[in-house]
Amino acid sequence: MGSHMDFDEEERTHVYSDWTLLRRMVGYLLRYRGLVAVVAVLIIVDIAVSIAAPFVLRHALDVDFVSGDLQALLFSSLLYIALVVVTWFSTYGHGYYSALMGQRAVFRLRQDLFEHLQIMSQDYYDKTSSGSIISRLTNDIDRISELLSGGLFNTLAQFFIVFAVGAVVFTVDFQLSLVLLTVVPILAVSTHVFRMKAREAYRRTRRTISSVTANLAESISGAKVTKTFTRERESVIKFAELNQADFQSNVDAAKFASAFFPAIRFIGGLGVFLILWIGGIRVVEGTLSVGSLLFFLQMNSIFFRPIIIITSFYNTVQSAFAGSERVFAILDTTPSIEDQPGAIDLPPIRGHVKYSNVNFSYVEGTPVLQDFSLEIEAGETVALVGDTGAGKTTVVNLLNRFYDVDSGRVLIDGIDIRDVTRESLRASLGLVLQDSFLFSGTVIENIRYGRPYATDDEVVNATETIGAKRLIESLENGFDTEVGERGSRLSEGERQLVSFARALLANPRILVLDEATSSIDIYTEHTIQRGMKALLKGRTSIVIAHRLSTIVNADRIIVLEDGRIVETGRHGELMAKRGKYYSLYELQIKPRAILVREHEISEEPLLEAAVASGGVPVSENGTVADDRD
Amino acid sequence: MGHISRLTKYALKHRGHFVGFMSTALVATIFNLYTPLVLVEIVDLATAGAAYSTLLLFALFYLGITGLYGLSDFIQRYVSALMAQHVIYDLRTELYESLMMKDLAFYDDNETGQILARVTTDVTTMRQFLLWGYRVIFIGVLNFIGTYYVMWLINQQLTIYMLAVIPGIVIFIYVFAKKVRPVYFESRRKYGSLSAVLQENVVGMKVVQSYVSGDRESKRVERENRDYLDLIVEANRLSAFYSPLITAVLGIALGAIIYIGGWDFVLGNLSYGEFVGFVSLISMLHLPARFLSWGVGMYQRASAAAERTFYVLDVQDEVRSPENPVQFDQIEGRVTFDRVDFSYRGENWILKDVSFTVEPGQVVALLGSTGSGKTSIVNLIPRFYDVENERTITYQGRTHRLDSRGKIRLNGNEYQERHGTIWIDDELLEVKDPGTAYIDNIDVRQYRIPELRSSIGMVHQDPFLFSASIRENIAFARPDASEEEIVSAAKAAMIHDFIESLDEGYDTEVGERGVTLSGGQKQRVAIARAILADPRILILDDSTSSVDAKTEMQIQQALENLMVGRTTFIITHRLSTIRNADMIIIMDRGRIIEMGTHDELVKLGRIYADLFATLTKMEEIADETLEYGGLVHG
Repeated sequence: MGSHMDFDEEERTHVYSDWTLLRRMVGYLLRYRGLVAVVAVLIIVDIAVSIAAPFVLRHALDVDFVSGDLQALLFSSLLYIALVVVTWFSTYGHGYYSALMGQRAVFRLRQDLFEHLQIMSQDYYDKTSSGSIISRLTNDIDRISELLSGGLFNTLAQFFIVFAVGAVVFTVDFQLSLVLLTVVPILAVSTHVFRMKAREAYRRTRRTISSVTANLAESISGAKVTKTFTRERESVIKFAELNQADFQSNVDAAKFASAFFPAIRFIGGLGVFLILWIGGIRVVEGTLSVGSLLFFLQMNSIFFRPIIIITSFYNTVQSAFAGSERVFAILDTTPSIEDQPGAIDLPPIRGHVKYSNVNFSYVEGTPVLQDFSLEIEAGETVALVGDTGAGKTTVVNLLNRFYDVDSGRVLIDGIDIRDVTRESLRASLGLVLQDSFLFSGTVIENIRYGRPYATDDEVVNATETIGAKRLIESLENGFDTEVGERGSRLSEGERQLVSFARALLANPRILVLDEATSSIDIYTEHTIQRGMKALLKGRTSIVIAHRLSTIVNADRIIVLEDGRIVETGRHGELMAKRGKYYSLYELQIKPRAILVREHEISEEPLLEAAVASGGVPVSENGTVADDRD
Repeated sequence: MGHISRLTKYALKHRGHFVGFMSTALVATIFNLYTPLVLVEIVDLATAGAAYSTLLLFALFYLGITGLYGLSDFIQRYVSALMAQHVIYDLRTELYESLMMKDLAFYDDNETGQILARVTTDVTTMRQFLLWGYRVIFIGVLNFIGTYYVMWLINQQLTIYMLAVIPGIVIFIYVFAKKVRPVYFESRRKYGSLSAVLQENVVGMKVVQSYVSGDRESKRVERENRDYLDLIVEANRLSAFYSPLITAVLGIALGAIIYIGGWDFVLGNLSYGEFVGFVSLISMLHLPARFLSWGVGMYQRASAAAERTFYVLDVQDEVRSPENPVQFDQIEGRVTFDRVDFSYRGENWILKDVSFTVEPGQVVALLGSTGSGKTSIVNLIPRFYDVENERTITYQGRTHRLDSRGKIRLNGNEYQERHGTIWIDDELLEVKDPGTAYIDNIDVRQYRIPELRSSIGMVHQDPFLFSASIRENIAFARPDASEEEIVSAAKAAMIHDFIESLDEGYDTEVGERGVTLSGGQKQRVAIARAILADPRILILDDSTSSVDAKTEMQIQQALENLMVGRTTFIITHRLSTIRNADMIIIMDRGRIIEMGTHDELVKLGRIYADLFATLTKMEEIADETLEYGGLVHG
C-alpha cells in the first residue's frame, strides 16, 4: 500500500551522486563499528563452513565409503553435523546483529530527520505538503531500512559466496568447474530480463489498483450524496469497469510472475543435466569420483540463491537511493531562520510591540508588507482586518519569527526580536490558530500542552475562566476524555475552547489570535466570545478578526490593504469615514455577523436550562409550556 | 476457520480453475519427485561403467522431466492466479454493491479509512491466500508424503531413520505460527502508532513551535521510535534464529546419513546412486517444511482479513425498504413528526418527543447549537436513519428502551411495564410510545426507499462533488437530462456564468484531479444538481462559510430559486431567510424549545425574541455610527 502514492514527480532540491548517497547511508551503519566487525566475521565463518560441508561429504563418499573404516566414517559424520550446527549459529548471529545495527541506524536516521524538521522554519511547511513530509519519515526511511538492515551485508555476502565457490570448485575438477560456471551467466541474465519485464507489468497493476482504491475512497466519502440521489446502480457499473481493468492487468502480470520461478529452476536443471552427462562420462572413465560428482551437484544448487538475491538487490538499492535522496535533501536544507550568534533569552516582558518600517516579501519582487509601522501598547487589543492577502497573517508571522523581516525592525519592549532566541521569544508569545489543532490524548493533556507541570487546580481554573469547565465536564469522561486524532472527537467549538484554555494556562504576555473565518452555530459562537474575552484580558493581543463582536470589542482596529495600514480607529469612527473599513464591513463582516449575541455575556439561559433539566418541556403546539427562571 | 471456508466457497465458484491448478500441481509434484530416481539410476550406471550414449539418454531424460515439471509448475501458477483474480473481482463487486446499499449508520460507526482498508488491504491479503494458500498447503502435504514414499522405494531402513526429522519440521511450523509471526504483527501495530505520532507532529508543527515544545515532542517520538526498534529487532532475532532451523535439522540428518548410509554401503546394502539420491531427497524436504509453514502464516493472515472484510457484507442494515411499499405518483410534501424520539442504538438520545407539522410548500428554519438535533430531524425524513420504534421510559434524566415484552433491566433489576406505566423504586413512570415521521400522512417507513429519496433533495454547506465533469455532477440524479435542462438548472443556481468562464466549460473536471472550486462555487453546483433532480421536499444545510458579498448574494438568489414551491427545511444563520420562514423551530438538546412564525416568537418574548433584538440592535449600531459616526468617539 501507499507506494503508488509516491511523490516522485516532486522537484529535486538537492542532487546527489549514487556514491554520495551510499556513503552517507553506510555512514549511519558505521556508527556501530563493533557490530559491523562482528557481522563481517560471522558472515565469513558462515560462508567458510557452508563451503566446507560439501568437501566433508565428498571425502566420506570417496575415502571412507571405499576404505570401510567405520571410525573414520563416524568422524566425518560428526564433523558434518558440527559444521551444520556452526552454520546455524553463525547464520543466526549475522542475521540478528545486522538487523540490530541496521535498525539502530534507521532509528537514528528517523530521529535525526524528525529533529531536523522541528527546526525548519514556517516557510518550509508552507511550501511542502505535510503528506510528502510524512512520506519521507515513513515510506522513504522504510526503503533505506531494507538496505541497511540486512540487505546490504547479505548481498555483499552473496557476491562473496559466488566468488568463493567459483574459486574453490577449481581445486576439485577443472572441466566440471567450467561446466558449472557456464550456467551462471545464463541464470543471471535471464533473471535480470525477467525482472525488467515483470516490473513493467506490475507498474500497470499499480495504476489500475490505485484507480480502484481512489474510486472506493470517493464512493465511501460520497455515500450520502449517492444515496440522496439514489444513484447506487450507476456507481456500481462505473466501479465494475475499473475492477475489470484491474483484473486484466493482474492477469497479464501473472503470466510473467508464473513463468519466472519455473524458468529459473529449469536453468538450474540444465546445470544438473550437464554435470550428470559430462560428470557421468568422467566417472565411467574413472577420472572423477562419485563424491566429486555429488559435490558438483551440491555446488550447483548453492549457486542459485546468491544469484537470485543479487538480482533482486538491484531493486532494493534503486529504491533506497531514491528514498535516501529525498531524506538527505531535507537534512541538508537549512532553516531559513536561525538564532543569531550570541542571541540572548528574552527577559520577562511587559508586552509593548513595535513594528518599525518593516518590509517583507515571501517571493522576491512581490512585497507583502511595505514600510509597515505599528505600535501596540502593553495590554492593548488590536484587531487586524482586511481582505485576504492584505498581509494580516504576515504581520503576526513576523512577530512569531516564523519569518524574518527583509528590512526594518520588530521590537518587543524595545528589544529587536532577532537579537533573542526563538525559543524564548515564542515562550513569551501565545498563538491561537483558527483551526485549533489538538494532539491525540486527553482534554487535560491538551490544556497542559504549554505548561506540562501545571496542577489540576490550575487547569480547572483556566477552563473556568474561559467558561468551558461545564462543557468539558459534560463530556463522556470529563477532563480525561480522549480527543481523538487532531481532536476529531470534539466539536469545532469544543476544540476552540480547549485551545483557549491551553493558551490561557500558558499565560503569555502577548497573544496572537487567528480567528476562524467559518461561522459556527450561534450558541457556540456565544460561548467562544466569552472565552475569548477572558483570554485577551490583561494581555497585549493581536487578533486577525473576522467576527463583528471581536472587532467591536477591540481597543483599536487596524485596516490593512496591500500590506499597508490604510485606516485605524474604533468601529464607529471607521464606519463614519466610509472608507475601506466601511466597505469591508458591508461586504464581509456584516453578512457574517448575524445572530451573534454579544450583550449579557454572563448569562447563559439556554445552556443553563438545558444542563439543569435535560431539556425544556414543550407543549403540544410546540411553544414553551412552563415559564421557568 | 469459518472465514476461510467461506472464502473457499468463492473460490469454488470457479471450479474449473480450482480443479485445474490443483491437478497440475499434482502432476508437477510427481515430476519433481521422479527426478531423484533418475539421479540414482545415472550414478549407478556411471559407477557400473555404462555406455556414454546410455548416460546421455538418462541425462536427457532427467532434463526432460525437469522441463515437464517447469511447464506444469507454470500452468498451475498461472491458473491459480486466474482463479484468484476472478474471486477478487467477484468479491470487490459484491463489497461495492453492499457498500452502496448500506445505511448511514454504518458510515457513522466505521471510519472512512477503516472501511477503505477492509475493502483494499484486507482484500489484497485474501488474494495472497487465494493465489498461494491452497497450492502451498496442497503441494506441501503432497511433497512431504511423496518424498518419504520415494525414500522408501530407495531404501526402507534409511527411510525409517529419516522419520526422526518430522518433529523438527513440526516444531519449525509451530514456532513460526506461534512465536515469530505474532511479534511481527505486533511490530506492524507499533509502526502504525509511530507513524501516527509523526504525522500529528508534522501537521501540528506550528503549534509545536509556538509552544516551544519541540524537546518534549522529540522525546515522545523517540519513545515510540525506540519501542518500534525493540520490537522489530526482537522479531528479526527470532526469525534469524528459527529460519535456519529447518536447514540445520536436515543438515544434521544428512550428517547422520553419512554414517548410517556409509555402514550400509560397506555392507553392500546401498549403492552410490542410492546414497546420492537420498542426499538429494533430504534436501527436498526443505520444500514441504517451508511451504507448510508459509501456508499456515497465510492462513492466519487471510483468516483475520476475511473476518474484517466479510463484516462489511454481514452488517445488517437497520433501515430497510418495507415488504409492501405504498404506491404513489407524486408526493405533495406535507411533513409531520409525531412525538418522534431518536437515538443511536438506544444510547445517546438525540431527539426527544419532537412534534410538528409542515404544510406542502412551507419553509421551516431550524435553529440550535451543534448537537441540538436539528441535523437529525432532517436525516430522519429521507430515512438515513429511522425513528425509535421501541417504547421508552425516562428515569433519572436518562432515557431507556423497553424490550418487546415491555421489560427493562436497570442496575441489575428487571422491571415490567403494566398499562402504560412502570414502577421503578417506588416511582411511577409513564411509558412513552414510539413516535412516527410522516410524509403526506403516510409513515415514511412505508415508502420504498429509492422512491422516497428521489422525492427529497439535500444541499449541504460543504457539498461533496465527485471527480467528474461539472456536467456529470449537475446531472448526477438524472444522467439522461438534456443539455438545455442542465444549463437552465445551472442558470437558476447562478453558476452558469462561472462555468462558461472556465476553459472547458461544462466539461471541466472537478475534484482531486480537476480544478478546485471554492466553497461557494461547490455549493451552487450542488444547488444546480438539486434543481435538476426536482424534489418535492428540500433540505438545505446552509451555515455559510466565509464568502464574499457577491457570492453570498448569488447563493441567496440560487437558494430562493431552488426553494420555490417546495417544502423546505433550512438550517441557516441568515436572518432574512429565518424571518421570512413559515415556521421557525429552535432546538436544544434534542427538544423543540420554541416554534412558530417570526411574529409569534417575537411576541412570545423568549429566546428568539432575545436573539432577534440583539441582532436588530447590532444593525442599528451600525446604522447609527453611519449617521453620527464622527461624533461617537470624537
